[in-house]
Amino acid sequence: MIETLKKMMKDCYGIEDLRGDANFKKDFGLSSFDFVNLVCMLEEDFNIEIDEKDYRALNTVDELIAYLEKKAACSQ
Amino acid sequence: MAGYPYLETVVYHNFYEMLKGVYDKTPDEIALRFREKEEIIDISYTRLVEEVGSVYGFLKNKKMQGRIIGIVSENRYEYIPLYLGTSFENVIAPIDKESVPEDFGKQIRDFDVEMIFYTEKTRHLVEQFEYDDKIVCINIDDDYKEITTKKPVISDFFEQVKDVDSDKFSVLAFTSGTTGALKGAMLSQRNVTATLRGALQNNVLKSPSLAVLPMNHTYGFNPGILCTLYNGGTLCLTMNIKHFQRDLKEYNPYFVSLVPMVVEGMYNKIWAEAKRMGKDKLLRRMIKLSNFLLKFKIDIRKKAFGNLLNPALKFISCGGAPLNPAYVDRYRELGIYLLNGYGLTECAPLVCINREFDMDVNSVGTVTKEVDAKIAEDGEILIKGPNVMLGYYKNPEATKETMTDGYFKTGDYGYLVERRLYVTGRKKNLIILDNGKNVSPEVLEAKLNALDWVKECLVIVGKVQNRRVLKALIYSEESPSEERIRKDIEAINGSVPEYMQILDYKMMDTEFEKNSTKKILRNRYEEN
Repeated sequence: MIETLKKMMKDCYGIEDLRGDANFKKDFGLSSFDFVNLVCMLEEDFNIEIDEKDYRALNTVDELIAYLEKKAACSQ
Repeated sequence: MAGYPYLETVVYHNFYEMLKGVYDKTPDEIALRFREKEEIIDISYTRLVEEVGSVYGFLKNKKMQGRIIGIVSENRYEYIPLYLGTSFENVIAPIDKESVPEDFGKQIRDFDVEMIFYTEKTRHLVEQFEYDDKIVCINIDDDYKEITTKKPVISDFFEQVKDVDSDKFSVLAFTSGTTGALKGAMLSQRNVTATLRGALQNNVLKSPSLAVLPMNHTYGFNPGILCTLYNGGTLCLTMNIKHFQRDLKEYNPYFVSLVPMVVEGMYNKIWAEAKRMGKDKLLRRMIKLSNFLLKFKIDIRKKAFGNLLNPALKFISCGGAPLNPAYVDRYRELGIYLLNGYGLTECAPLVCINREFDMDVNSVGTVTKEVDAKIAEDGEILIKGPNVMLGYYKNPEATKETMTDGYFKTGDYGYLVERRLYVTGRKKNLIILDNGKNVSPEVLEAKLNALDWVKECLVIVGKVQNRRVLKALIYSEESPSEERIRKDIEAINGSVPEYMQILDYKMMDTEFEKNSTKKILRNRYEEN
């Protein structure tokens, strides 16, 4: 999961150092539109649905990964 | 084709004339198209007018006339009939759904809102009025169907509203003031219809269009939504930005209104996708080839790049915030006209927009036909015309301050070359973010100044990875720990909407430079 996210961040936004506590907006400079795009790509790749309420509450890499893992566990 | 004549368009001065005009011409044409779960729903002009009439009738039955009625909702089609139906005998006040409850409550009270249309998603904002018998709250999710069950006879509805005063205060559009206090621009139906006509006289609008911006934005709603309806076309609605790319392909629109953040994000996404698929070099080569062929008037852009976004997309209007002009050329290479424009809430909002055959990447466009723009001695842009607001709600002092000899003082500096306008800077302190949101730095500065370790501060635009964000510059005579600074800023961020959050800060070694009246010389510290 982290590998997919790492590849997306590198390919789309040129960001390589994906520290767990890094904040997508503050540390990587993603706009809210960029972040929604990332969410859309993750939805497609993992075949999941991420609610607006949910993704608005996700700020850091760790939070996103934890959310995705929980989602994946639920759908299995 | 510099300075070519304005286009002809039908003239409506109010929403009655507009609705009657399009209904008489094309009653069965699709007015609105959107997705509800997986199904595509079409709303004809007949049904739209019926629902506008139902809303009008509902308010009349409730004896609600001459009131200010708020709407706080995510994007949904019901917003449009509610907005239009309310505006005939009341005032519709679109409110930002991103507000925090405390500010929302203050806004409702300060602006005398007596009824609020809300939804399940904005329920948390109106819950505070549960026991307030002065404010009626209506849940769109629960009650809209019932409101519109009783369909009016369209001719009867038109008969009832035909004498509507075009100059009546009909829309209360909120805007951030320079002092940080929210101001309400009072707009008439003449103001709004003049803006729509202005846009249509500058460029040809073909159907369908796609609307994606938040509906409470004057720019998102007037040019973004009502323009297409004024023209009798089909407007497709994207309810959530998440579905924007899908809708862009599926609805295949000719026109879409955007803000710089989306324009830039969308373009960068094209390249990111190409890179992901290993086709970025090919795309670069194709653009070079296409640019070369264009010199010989051979245009392969639609064929070569039409599928990157959609084949029909010709115009993107860009407003709400300053646009990096490089994107105009970048989109043009792909065969899309990115029409940079300029406007203000007080002007309903459109003042000017670039024209298809007369584009200048550095200009914010040609002043619309009925608008008179001139430059004051100090360089400030002044605007007069049927689009200029009636004044600020309950704020005659601010109204007086902002008007001079019948002209509205925009607070922006610029110059004109014939009818083309160039903006060079802002006179006011207002910060306009890339997503079009306006922030008065004073609001955040007041919160920072309230911290006991802050002696002086400024909030400016800083950059994180090339994105413009709010940054605090702070001077302190104590030596607060980094943890304390972060914690206090986090607390401030928790008390404001997301777009107003301070994402970067810098501690200053010395006091700020000031003028003779001890005001901080803000422009010395601006980073952009």
